[in-house]
Amino acid sequence: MPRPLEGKNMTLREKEKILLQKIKAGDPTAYMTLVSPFRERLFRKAVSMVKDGDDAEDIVQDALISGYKSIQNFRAEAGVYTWLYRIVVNKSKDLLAKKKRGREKPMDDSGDNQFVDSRVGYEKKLELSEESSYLMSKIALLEDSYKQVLELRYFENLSYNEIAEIMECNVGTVKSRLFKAKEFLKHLIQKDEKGEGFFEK
Amino acid sequence: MKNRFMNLKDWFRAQYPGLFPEDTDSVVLENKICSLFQHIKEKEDTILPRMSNDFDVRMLNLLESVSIDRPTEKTSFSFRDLIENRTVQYSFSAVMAVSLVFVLLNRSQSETTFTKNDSAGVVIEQNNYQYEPTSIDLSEPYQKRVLLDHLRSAPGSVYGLRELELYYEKTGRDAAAEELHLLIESIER
Repeated sequence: MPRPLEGKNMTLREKEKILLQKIKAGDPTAYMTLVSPFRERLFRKAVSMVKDGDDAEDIVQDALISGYKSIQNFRAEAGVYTWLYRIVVNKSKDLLAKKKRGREKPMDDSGDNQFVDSRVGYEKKLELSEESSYLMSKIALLEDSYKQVLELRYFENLSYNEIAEIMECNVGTVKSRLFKAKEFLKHLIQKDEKGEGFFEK
Repeated sequence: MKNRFMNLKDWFRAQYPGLFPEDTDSVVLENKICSLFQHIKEKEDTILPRMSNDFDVRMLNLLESVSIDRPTEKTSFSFRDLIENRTVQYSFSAVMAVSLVFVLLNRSQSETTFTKNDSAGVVIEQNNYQYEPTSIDLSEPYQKRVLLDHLRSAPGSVYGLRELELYYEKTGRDAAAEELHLLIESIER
């Protein structure tokens, strides 16, 4: 007999398991309970990619519906957030590609893999300091896979396992990419005249 | 070589960062990346659009009319599935490794007993009968004459050949018997 969800000693995993059982039995309320903690983060990710609040909301909505439909294929050992994150990123990419094809709304950047670079566009609104803008510009020069791993680690605060799941690689590759991303970044700053004194503060 | 060594070193540093003392620049950089993303996150909270208040209600209504898909079951097993199967890959590698070890062991053992020169699979033996007569029908007249002279000089050779001819006839080897008959005739001429 499943313990009540409100049980104080219940771990997050145990709660997820019980919710998953209910969802698979066809309970949409349980699904909303499961995904509610992540919807704002997912929405933020979608906005950063498609740069439109309404589109982003539609993407999150579609992603959550897709997730609900395919819940039977959800592996218990996988994280709910990483699973939904991938769906949102894929749907955002699809929308961007569709817009690009239909020229409904030309985008400034043409890269398929939009992660950190998608946030660069917010620089003016974000009013970053000179040093932060400089660091952001250097991050933008990195390869997509390095930008992605930096964002997932330091912006999304995900674990190596979660990043590996999103990037569809093993944990060793994640560690290696993260290390290389920082090394390349360090190298870019060190060889740049403007970067003089960056590491002294 | 240096590059390969560097890659290995980087890999170890990435996998086991605790074993390597981090240089100051890396620590400073990591701190600045953390601060940058934290700063962006805080700023984004103030400038990014918000989700609609009725999002949850809308979602729940939509979900009421959505049915959950059945779990996808793989019915067909393709060749790609087979070669992408980790167990199959590991098994194949293991079999190949065992075969390699077996071949290497066999080669190393045979090297100690096999003393002949490497002949690349061709059997080299001194079995060259090119200049030796094997039949009375040899087209070489000199060889034929030498053989006949030798048999004529040996008493009892004709008797022996006749016995052999009879033996071949009895055992059904007519071709050999015929050949011996021709040989005896040639001796007696």
